[in-house]
Amino acid sequence: MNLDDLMEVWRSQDASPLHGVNEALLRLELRQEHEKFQRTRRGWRWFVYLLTAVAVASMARRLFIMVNRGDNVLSGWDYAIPVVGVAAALLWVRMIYMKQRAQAVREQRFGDSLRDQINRQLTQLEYESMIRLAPLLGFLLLPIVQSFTIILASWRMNGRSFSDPSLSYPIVFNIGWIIICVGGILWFTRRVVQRKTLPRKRRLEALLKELDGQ
Amino acid sequence: MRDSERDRIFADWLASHKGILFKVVHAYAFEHADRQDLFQEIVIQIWHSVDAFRGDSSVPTWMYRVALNTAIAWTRKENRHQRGKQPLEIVAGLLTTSSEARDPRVEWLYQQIAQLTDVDRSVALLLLDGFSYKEIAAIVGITESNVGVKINRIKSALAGKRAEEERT
Repeated sequence: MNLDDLMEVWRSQDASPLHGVNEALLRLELRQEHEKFQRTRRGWRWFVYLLTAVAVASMARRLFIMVNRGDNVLSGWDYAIPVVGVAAALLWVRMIYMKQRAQAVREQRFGDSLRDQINRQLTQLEYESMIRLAPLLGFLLLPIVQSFTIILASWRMNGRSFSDPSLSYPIVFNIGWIIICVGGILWFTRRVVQRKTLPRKRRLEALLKELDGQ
Repeated sequence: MRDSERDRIFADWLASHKGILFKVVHAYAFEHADRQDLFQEIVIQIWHSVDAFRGDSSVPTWMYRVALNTAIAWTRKENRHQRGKQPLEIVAGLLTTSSEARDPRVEWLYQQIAQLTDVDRSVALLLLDGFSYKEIAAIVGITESNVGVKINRIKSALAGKRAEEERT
């Protein structure tokens, strides 16, 4: 049997397909998929908006309370704390937005071939790893700064001076707590990357090699 | 693109070229539940990609491209057999089996294709459906000469298997 015969046999399926499609269920499935897709996109957008709004509102509230306290003499630092907090929150959201946009542009550079699809998936995995691993600390720095300014602002609202020796213990405690949280997040994400992302990356790289192999 | 327009285009494509999807599903999934699962993934992917179709290639080429990419990604997914999140009736019923008797020669071809690597399987499907070397190279993303090498290897594997079976 030569190739033409094989092709003829192969094409005989077109006359009598192996399957049919349950179109009513398919329509239902697609509607559900569409709703899920829209819900997820909407959810993420609102999550970021909400997070920014909460961070900015919380710092603005503290600034407002501090300014309106008649019994406290405010220094330049007292104003600087909420300003730094708001700036850190806004910068963080801006960074997330820029990173997502840069990744979208990067993914659009690829075409539609199988090789392009694999490369696109690899960049997605690299992006995931990048978000989750090495620069995570840098990425978390801004929310950390923001959290810390909230703590400092709270102390100042209670009229406590930074030179007050009784504050050294809470400062150390809070710094320690932040370090433990960041360390925990790093440990957890490294585990996820090693268990899920890296094996998938290796499989895709193997597939790329298979494509190149002759 | 409006949702209704996307749905209409998708329905037209599916009605005219669903055979492509069945071939890809059969070449990459071997159990009934897996075939349902893969078929579902492919149709969802095609439905999502209707907006991205720019008409640079024909619709069958585009559908093959999306279906093969999805199938290869699907074979590399973990837990692909554990689709517990979907309602049972959808997983069980999206793809209905034809009551007509299958041609044993077609079954034989599928058996041989199943023994190839994922990439060679794609090349074999496209070759059997009459795509040119150039088209296969564009769909898979390899050079034409690499396509030629792969096709020669596939042909000799099929011929060898056929000869072996005729001897026994």
